Amino acid sequence: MISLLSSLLFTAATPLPAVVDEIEDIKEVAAVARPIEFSKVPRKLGKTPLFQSQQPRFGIFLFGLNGETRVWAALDQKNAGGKHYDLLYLDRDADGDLDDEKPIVGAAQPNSRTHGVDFKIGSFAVPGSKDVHQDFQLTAHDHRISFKMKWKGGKITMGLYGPHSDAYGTFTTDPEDAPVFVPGYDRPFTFEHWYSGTLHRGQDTEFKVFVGNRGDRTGTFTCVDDEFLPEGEYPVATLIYQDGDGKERRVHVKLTERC
Amino acid sequence: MLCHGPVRVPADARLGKAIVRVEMKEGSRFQSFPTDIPVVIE
Repeated sequence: MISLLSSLLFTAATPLPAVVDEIEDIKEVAAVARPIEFSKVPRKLGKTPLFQSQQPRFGIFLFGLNGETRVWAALDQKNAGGKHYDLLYLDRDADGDLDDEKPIVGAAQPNSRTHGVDFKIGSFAVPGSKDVHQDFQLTAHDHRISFKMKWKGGKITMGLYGPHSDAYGTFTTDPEDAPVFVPGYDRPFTFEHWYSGTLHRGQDTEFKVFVGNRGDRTGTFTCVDDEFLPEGEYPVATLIYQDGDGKERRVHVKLTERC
Repeated sequence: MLCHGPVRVPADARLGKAIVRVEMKEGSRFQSFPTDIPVVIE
């Protein structure tokens, strides 16, 4: 890293601020990012508006390098008993209260492709930081939630994913059991497999992984898109298994393909 | 995004539970937390 930085500084007639800033950011990540202890994330929701739905649904987004900024989201309905959730409350000031937030109204008609109701949040400035994420959109499907945003106006981060499509996550009716999501790509990556949980002895299995951040449970993974990692960057999978004598063995595989 | 590649399970592997540990390649400019994914060998 130091040699790369030195090379950039000494070979460019004019320093490349964006590149240098990115490298500094990566060094910072190495210094302070640590795994998030989801069991310690407070699930106590503050003041709420008078929800119309009999079953409002809740989720929590974590922002900040170690998830220190907690942003509640709640789905409601304009009219109780409606077919879809059509109001979204987002705790934009991260104070834990939703009664001071203006609801975002969902699209009048479900998305013709996904059949979900889109909520266009737009820009989202993370309280207590200089970070502003763009084109933030959440979609309420019948049995799951999805979202995407341009992280700090740059590349896309999106969710919610799990090891198979039936496991993609959703909000819960109990705030104290609200699922927790970690969007973005500032933190060290973690991984979730996709339809790859069963391997066959003596055979090849195409092992597929999402690259991004784990949430607090299965189905809450957020990921970067297939254009994020530059050429030459890839994860490595190590199969750790026992042979017939019970001895631990390892097989290493480069996951270089994309889709 | 999905990154993928062929994992071949050796013929002498015991059937049952195993682990696939995933992390960014050594020397990557991207940091990662090694992630253990439970799998089943059949």
